[in-house]
Amino acid sequence: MNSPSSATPRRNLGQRLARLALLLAAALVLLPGVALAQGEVRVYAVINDDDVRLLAEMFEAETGVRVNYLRASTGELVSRVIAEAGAPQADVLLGGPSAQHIAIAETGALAVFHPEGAAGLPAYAVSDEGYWTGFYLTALGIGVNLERFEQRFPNEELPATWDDLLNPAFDGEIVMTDPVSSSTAYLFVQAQLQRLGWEAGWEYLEALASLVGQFPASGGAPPQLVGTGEYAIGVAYVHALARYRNDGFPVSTIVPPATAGEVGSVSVIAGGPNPENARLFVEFVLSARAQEAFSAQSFTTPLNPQAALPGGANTFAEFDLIDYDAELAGEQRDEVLLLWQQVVD
Amino acid sequence: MTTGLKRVGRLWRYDPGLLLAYGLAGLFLLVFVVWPLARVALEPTVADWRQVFTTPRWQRAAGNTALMLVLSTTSSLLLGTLYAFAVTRARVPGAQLFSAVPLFLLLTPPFVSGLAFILLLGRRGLFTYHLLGLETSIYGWHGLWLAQTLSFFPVAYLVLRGAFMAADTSLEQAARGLGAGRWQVLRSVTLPLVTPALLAAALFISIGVLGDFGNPMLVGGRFQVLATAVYTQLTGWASFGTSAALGLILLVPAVLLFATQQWVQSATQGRYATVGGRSSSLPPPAVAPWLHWSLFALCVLVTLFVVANLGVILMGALTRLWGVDFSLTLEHARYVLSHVGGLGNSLRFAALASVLCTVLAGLVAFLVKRGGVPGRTGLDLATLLPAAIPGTLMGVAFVLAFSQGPLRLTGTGIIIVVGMAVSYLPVGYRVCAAAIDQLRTSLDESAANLGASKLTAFATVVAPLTRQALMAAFVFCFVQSVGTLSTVIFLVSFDTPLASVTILNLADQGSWGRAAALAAALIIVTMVALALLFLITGRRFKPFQEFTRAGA
Repeated sequence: MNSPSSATPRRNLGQRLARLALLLAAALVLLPGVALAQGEVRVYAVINDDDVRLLAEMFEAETGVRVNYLRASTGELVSRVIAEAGAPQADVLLGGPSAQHIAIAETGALAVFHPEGAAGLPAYAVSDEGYWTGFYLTALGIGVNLERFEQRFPNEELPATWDDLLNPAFDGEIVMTDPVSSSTAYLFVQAQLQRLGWEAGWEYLEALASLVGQFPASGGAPPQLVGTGEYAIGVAYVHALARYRNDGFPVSTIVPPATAGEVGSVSVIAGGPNPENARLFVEFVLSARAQEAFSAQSFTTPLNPQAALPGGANTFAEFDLIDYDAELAGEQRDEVLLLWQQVVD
Repeated sequence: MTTGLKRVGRLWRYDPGLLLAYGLAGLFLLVFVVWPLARVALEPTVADWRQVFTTPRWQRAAGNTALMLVLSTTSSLLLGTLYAFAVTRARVPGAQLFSAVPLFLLLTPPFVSGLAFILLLGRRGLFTYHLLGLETSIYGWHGLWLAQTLSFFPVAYLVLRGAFMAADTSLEQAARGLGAGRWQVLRSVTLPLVTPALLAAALFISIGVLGDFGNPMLVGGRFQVLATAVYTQLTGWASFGTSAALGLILLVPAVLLFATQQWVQSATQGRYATVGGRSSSLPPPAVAPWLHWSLFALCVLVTLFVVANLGVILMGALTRLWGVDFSLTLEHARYVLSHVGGLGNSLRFAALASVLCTVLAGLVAFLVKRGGVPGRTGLDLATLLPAAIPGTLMGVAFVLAFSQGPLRLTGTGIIIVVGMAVSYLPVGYRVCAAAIDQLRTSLDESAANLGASKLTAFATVVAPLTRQALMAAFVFCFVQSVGTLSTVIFLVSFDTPLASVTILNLADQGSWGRAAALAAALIIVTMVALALLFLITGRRFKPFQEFTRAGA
């Protein structure tokens, strides 16, 4: 492709390339690296991008401390905190179920901190040793796309309990996350096993799995697929479903009796670069004003009793929670997942 | 060994610059290709391996992966070849316009096109539901097949288009003149001429299909493949062991494919010459009218899809809520402004990675082809090795290899830049090596006779003469790096957010408007950057034709 005629402008081109290289070198020197602010706190955030941004802006306005956050999935950030134990990059882990915080604490990667804001909280929302503190509550629920539901099942009632999902008419119209890849879905599977007992629980799961149209890997997928009407019925956290309802999607959220919940927790990472700001940030997250603002946007239920409950989120009274045994759930994990795969396929 | 040492000794005396470059390139490959792979291979315990092999789901996933490998590679190759044939040989009306269309798909981050695919063809898709009133479901192997075909055919197109353009039309005209039928010409002249390109494209695509996790995650439904498992084992359960083991299983077919391609290529070397002489200015022989118009219809269909794909992203970015409230809004566009940092990082890291990739590709190609250094086979293999590593496995390997010890790079931009560069190094290297092969040795030999060291010969003779290939490597690496997800998703940190990862986050939590707005911004910024590049380097620059040689 090198025609001889292109010989003349070669030097010209060479100069141009040199100029380009110079420009890139300049970009390399000038642009990168936000200078480390004096007051900073580094937050690993499991909660939604919008939500952590909201909290960050409030905290910055109040204290002048810059919040630098990284948002990713629970599993990814948990593995980062554990892997970085020797040289932690972050100060705070924000969000994720308390069970995950307990698992990290066992590896020694979390710092002990008893925040003042933990005082008025229910016992299940506070770590005895001071490793983590709960700041919101959510529970598993059923989401229904009303438009699709009415179109597909004009003669059916909306499901109100977990057992209502077993209606054979719903074949191929249910979507739930895969427990092999998602801790949310594992919570659901365990909740059914603990609610119904081992034998009946597996019968239930087997019947349900045969009706499920899809098991996406990510916990964020079912609300999305129900919201947009790809599926009529989805199993997900109620706050995630409420978000779609609030956005204007024709979604109804149902909290069935005997469900399982998640205590969304925050913890200080041991040996993080900004320990003082980390504690300041945790106290802020536990404050009533932060929880009100967070709840209004995320539709989770605030745990701080002083925080007002905004419209859209569920009240405590609406959650009928089973006595979930997290320890048992952890022990049975491998066995349950192996059985689950045999049941599903 | 002793001769190798002798050669090193000679270099030390006569060409220390070249020796230094050789050492640096070798060290780079050792640290950033060989070491991460070795590290990831050590990660799974016996229990992890047992779990991976005995879990029924993953056995099925392995079977599914094999099925998609065959289906999607074949169909992508077929579509890409037909499309390339249409715009170069069949000369369908509007060929000029059509020839640019698939390149836009290359500019779209893969995750984004998967999203657009659902918005267009899903159960509530714009085409399927709103226009045609269909209640079909795309979720499953058939939907995945379609999505992967559309994702990967541009690669086949890119390679084949160049091959068709370079193949000597006078050979076909001569065959026609000698009385051969249209099919006979196609079968016995045209196809053999582009066979090396077909093989190269088949390799690129099959590795891409093996490592693809975005499409299966979005449209696979209950149909699972291994690449998704590599990702979800890490994100869902933080299980490095099983994730690494599953990734290493993916490596097996990849390496086999790679070896097969190398073997076929060397076995057929010289039998087919795609760029033997100057291309003839004769027009290619005409194709049958029915074929002509079928190919035209194919081009129109593909173009419509690409336009719809980009259109859906723009529409999603500018409307309040996709599927519910189509009123126009600038709210999402404003949100993009708060993510300027991520966009800037994506561009900056991709640009730096492309410089690194290009320099390395050119240098190693020169060392292997003309350097006269010992260990050329090892250098060659190490450079091509990343082509056989699925992106997700590469990501896991980088995290494992560079989290601790003296090589701790996690949290820095360097690891992202290197990850990107290494991912696209094999393609860049192939392009450069093929270009150097085309150069007569007499050129750099004369430079040597005039007293230039080899490194000087490379910088002043070889590099300028192969600048088109170097630019092609640069552009390819840049375009792919800007939107890449699989390799970098585990590498981003506080000061190094990337637009592509944020797009995934936003789409995952259901903020489609914002995801679409950020994706649109990323595509536009990439296009502007490329346009600037073309402007600076002048119009003579035709990088895409360089991919022809890469297959030869």
